[in-house]
Amino acid sequence: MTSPASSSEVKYLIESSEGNTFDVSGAALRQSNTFNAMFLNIGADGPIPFTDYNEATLKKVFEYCEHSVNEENYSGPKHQDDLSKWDLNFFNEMDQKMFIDVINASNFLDIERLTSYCCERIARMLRGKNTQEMIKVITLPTAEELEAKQKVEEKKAAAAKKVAEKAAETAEKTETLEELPVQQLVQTTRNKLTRKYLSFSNE
Amino acid sequence: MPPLPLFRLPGLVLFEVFKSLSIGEKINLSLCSKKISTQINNARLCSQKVIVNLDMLDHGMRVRTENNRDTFDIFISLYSRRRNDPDMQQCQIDGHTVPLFSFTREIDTFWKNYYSTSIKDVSMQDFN
Repeated sequence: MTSPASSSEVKYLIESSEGNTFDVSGAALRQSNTFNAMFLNIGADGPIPFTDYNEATLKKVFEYCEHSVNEENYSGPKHQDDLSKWDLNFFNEMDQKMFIDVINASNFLDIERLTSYCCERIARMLRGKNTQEMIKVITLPTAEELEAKQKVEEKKAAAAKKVAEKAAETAEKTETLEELPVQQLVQTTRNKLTRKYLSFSNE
Repeated sequence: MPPLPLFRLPGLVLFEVFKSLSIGEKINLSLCSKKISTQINNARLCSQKVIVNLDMLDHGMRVRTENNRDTFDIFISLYSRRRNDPDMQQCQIDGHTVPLFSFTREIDTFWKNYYSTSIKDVSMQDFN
């Protein structure tokens, strides 16, 4: 389905968290450093699973990549004022949930240009504001949320510790089980040889 | 747009955002919560060289970049001098609850124990 040689013309199949697949051009995908590191040289045999992200988010991210294929090479972060009309529309039509999903996906796929524009957009929300105004713009986790998060993390750590202990126990048991037959074999052979030697010397 | 859940963003993205903020914006943001303050410290913004000028006469300090383009003033006043104002905030600074007025280019802080607490140490934490 894909060949690394002609990656600009070829289409890659992307699989989303819903299990749906859709086409993305090689040229657009090459803007993702994660893709470049994983698939560009070896090609992909079947759909590429980006199953941590939903179809809408991935489509949005690759829509950006497709659009910026013909733009000049990325040369570091730009100020938001330098964004084109298309770029501004692209960001403005997203709701906040989608915006955060796009940032997460873009960060995972390591698409420098998109990630940098998203960062600039967030920074712009905070610029020129005092502490009170900043608190209105961002959501801070409450003490209860932090406590709940800490409890979940503690539970996870305890569960991981239990699993590790169980694994270590199982490994020990396996070792002793594996050791027994070998020891028995050595003992039996030794007994046989001793008996043979004794009978030989008696003769 | 509803408030942005800052801590749902990936760490690298947060660091990039912090990097692009000015000195004052970083100080103001770090006053929003202890967790943000820790995150800003973790971002290790060592590449940003800042100069701190202490003003003994006006009981304040100025944090600025080498080229003076980015400056932020911190004023230290006695607690008794605070005035009742709805805009006054209570922020946690180095374990102390400090009333303060926050502006884009300066903050005015009011300390109960004027001489034993050094705001210099607190603000310097932001720049490691």
